Amino acid sequence: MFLSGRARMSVLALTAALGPLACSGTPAGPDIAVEHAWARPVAAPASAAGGGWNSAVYVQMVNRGRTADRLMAASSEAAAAVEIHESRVEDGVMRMRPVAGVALAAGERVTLEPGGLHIMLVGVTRSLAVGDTIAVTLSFEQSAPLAIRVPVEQR
Amino acid sequence: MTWRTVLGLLVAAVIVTIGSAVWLLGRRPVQSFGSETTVLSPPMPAADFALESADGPVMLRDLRGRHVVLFFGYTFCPDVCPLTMQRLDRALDLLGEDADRVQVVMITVDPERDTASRMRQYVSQFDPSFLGLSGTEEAVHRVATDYGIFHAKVEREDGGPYTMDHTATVLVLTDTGALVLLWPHGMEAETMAADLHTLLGG
Repeated sequence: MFLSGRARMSVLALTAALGPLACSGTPAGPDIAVEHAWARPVAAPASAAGGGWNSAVYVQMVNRGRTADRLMAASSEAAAAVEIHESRVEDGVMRMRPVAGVALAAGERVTLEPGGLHIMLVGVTRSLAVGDTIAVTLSFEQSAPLAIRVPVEQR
Repeated sequence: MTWRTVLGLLVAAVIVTIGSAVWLLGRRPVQSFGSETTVLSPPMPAADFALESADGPVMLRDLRGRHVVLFFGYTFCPDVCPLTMQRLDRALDLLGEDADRVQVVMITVDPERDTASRMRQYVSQFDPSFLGLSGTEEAVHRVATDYGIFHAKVEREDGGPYTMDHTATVLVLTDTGALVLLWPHGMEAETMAADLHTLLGG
């Protein structure tokens, strides 16, 4: 920080006045940031046969806090239901399973990406075209829910 | 050394480097496939199949004259299947004009959900030239078994929508209907395009 002597003094004074609340750069609990979110495009033509059409949301989550947290669920206006899934390819066989959340240890970055963990949009309510944005809310075990805007991208 | 001499030497070095690179590339073996690609040599005659497209019945023999890139998946799959289809689309883009000599086919392993018309809707969002096929449970099971594709319906304990476990390998058949290449899941579009280019005699 490049502060003049007087400015530095006042910062010090403020810090002293507010005590540990303001002084600590890292919050006592978990502190989740979401980065690089994107959703897969999907054309959703009206079709009774086979039900609706699905898509997936991918994000990076960083827990900048001091204690662990867990992504428990997600919801979106763009889908009838939202589930957290994991795809895994073992011996050439693709298996996709719902998971009971995603652990976020203190200081950890977890990447949801194609072929791995993803937030599955089950039954999209409309076609998702490149350039669209959808609203998604992520719910955590500890932290307050995070409402994010997710761009639809071809990746 | 004058600056002219230095410049001359630099130009000469660049010419020698480019010349060597061109010569080395020219010497590349004719049949060179991706390091992850399984090559069947000689190609193995593939079983014919009788399935349904949105436009009517399709047999493998109907596709003779074109190399067939065959993927088994299902439309409910939001992750691995679209990723593969998107990469196949990109691979064909990279192939350019030769893409006309290749037919991408996706066969559902989930005929319960995926009708022929739903398959067309699904594949056409990646590329209108892709062919989506379905059929009766028996027909789909037979073709999957013939091509070594494991598939199993997985019911959920919580009553949620079922998923399908399935082999995610992509199969490549010659224009005479013989199995020649296997691509494991996760192959990059560039590698697939290069393999197809080699196969087409490029």
